[in-house]
Amino acid sequence: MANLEMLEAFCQADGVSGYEKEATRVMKSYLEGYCDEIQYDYLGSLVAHKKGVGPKVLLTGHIDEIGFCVKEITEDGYLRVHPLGGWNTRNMMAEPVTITTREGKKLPGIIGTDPKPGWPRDKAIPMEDVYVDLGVASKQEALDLGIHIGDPITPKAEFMVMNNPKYVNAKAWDDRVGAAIVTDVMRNMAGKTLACDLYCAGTVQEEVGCRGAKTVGQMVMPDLSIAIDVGGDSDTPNAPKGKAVLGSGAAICVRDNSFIAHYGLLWHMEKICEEHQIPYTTYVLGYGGTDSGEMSKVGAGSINLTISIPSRHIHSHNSMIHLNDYDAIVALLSEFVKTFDQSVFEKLKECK
Amino acid sequence: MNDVVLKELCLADGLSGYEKEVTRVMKKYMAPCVDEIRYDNLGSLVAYKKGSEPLKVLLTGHVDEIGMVVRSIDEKGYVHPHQLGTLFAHSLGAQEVTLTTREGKKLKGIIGTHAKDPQFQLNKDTIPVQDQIVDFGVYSKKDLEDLGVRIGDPITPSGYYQELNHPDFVAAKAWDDRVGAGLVVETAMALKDVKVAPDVYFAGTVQEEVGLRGAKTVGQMVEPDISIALDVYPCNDTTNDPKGEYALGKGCTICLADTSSIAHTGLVQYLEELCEKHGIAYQETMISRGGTDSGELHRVGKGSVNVSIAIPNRYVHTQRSIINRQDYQSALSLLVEFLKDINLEKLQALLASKQ
Repeated sequence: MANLEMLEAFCQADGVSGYEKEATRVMKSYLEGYCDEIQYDYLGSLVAHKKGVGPKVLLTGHIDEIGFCVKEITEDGYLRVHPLGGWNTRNMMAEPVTITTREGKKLPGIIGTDPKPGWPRDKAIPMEDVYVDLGVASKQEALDLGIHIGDPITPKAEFMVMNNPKYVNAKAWDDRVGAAIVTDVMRNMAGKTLACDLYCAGTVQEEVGCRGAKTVGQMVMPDLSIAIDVGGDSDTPNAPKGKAVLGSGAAICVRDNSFIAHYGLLWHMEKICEEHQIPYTTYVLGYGGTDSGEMSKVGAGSINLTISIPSRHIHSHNSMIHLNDYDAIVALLSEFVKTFDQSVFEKLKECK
Repeated sequence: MNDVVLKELCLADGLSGYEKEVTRVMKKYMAPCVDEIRYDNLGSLVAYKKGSEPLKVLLTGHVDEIGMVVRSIDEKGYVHPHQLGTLFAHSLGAQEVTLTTREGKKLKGIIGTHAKDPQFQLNKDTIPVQDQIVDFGVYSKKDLEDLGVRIGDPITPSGYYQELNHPDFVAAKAWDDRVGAGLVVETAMALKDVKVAPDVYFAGTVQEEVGLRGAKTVGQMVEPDISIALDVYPCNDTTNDPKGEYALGKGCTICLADTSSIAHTGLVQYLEELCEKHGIAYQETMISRGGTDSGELHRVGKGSVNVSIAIPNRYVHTQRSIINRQDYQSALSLLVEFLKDINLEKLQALLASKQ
């Protein structure tokens, strides 16, 4: 069952692409004592390893969130920003942010709303016109706070259990939810002897090009890999209706722009869900990419797919998931890992 | 800044995929200073200097420059080229280029200025790169074929190296990235009789301009712990630039982020501390268009602790661009101090800063 305290700790950590330490530290604190060793790649991705004799399995949730870094401090003490990850500026207007200085100081800021003169009111302002209001009287005040070019700027939002307590709003469900899921799977294996060699990782820099997935993949060289990320179909009034909506369970992804699921693994996942009455859908994502894009083609390749958790309003300050979907994915992956061994691996390979 | 070395590097012709002339210059100056010279299978040069501790540092400057290859020759004897790397259409007309034949013969040509498009308006429009033709001053296709010209022959801007009116400013062809190759060579030369802790790999990587390819293969060959790409970054300090904060003469550049990579925060701070300690001028910047060898180097194997150090460059990707030798000097000083200072313990601290 999802632990709200753990989920809040995961989501509220500040960890934009390239500056993920705070977030990996949270993940580490929940993994210590539940695995045989914790390693890092050279970019800062965290990899927990539970030793077992059998094929290598790598489960990843990316630990970075989208955000920005300080590009410039203007003459009047405002900040110009360099985006880290994909942003639509209309989702940024008037939102609060946190600047983390090199000394670790947390400073508040607000993304301003003024477009340049003449810009049409209903058009999203270009990224180079975005500015952060620090609420200071001069550039010197900003410098005295210890702000430096390159400092990370993270969205700030409340972790909110909604009116139906299964619905939870937070920043960075993308992809702290994936990192939390793989953490819970590892924790579920405590005391068990597995017939596979299990690696659960919080990969860095997914939002800027799945870079941590590549380096972790190259470090581990998995036989089988699964990325857990946000996705699914939106079920808001304005969205085209799909089946992989909040509350529908694990959304097994057939493809996105970065990978095509190994169909043997996909059918195997569906079978586990059927046998254990785990709610699920199988769906096609028409856009986007995930860590699978890199992990599927590392070395000689790995048997791979992405499992999505249905989500709303990602790549903004406030996104939402359904706790039943979280539990479904943890249950599915736990069952998968417990029963995965050399013979299942051989059967999957034979499918191709 | 050793003008003899840099002039030889800049005057060499080394289109992406055809870099041998340039790696030969690097080899000439580095061979007496290192223990071994190797190549990857694409032609990147890697000079190896053994250190006293088990950590590997890789410095790269890419040896390829942008240019064109012969796509076809028409009956009148004009060459229709295909660009390799990103050329800027507005800076091509009437430029002199050099074609290198398979026998190594050098032929001079001029890029034309007549537009194909009948709607073309003089002083308003630019001829697109794919419509450009190169005039070699011959009567027919046969003339060129008799000279040995074949499809696929490399065409590079003709060589240029000129100190300008204040000696700090030097204009040349292919500062991108002979400046990086020069820094790699001069760092090796400066450390010739100096023992350092790391195993150092001084590399001239090929095919950066067409997708960081040599960086990938050299990275995979070396598997460095720390990697530093040396390249140019476009500055914006002329009177015509609105912003102007990234300028020639303010020091070498620590590149915090570009489209291809995000700098390792620990390494950035370490280098800046070295600059403060040794009075080396530096500036920081990030760009939202463009990348360097770091794009591949940081994610090779289990990754490497990586940053790009850049020299500000005016008129990037044109036939004559300008750098300031003070910025070059700063970068060279920083690289030498870094290699003398870095050791296994400091590498562990850098890794721990992300853990």
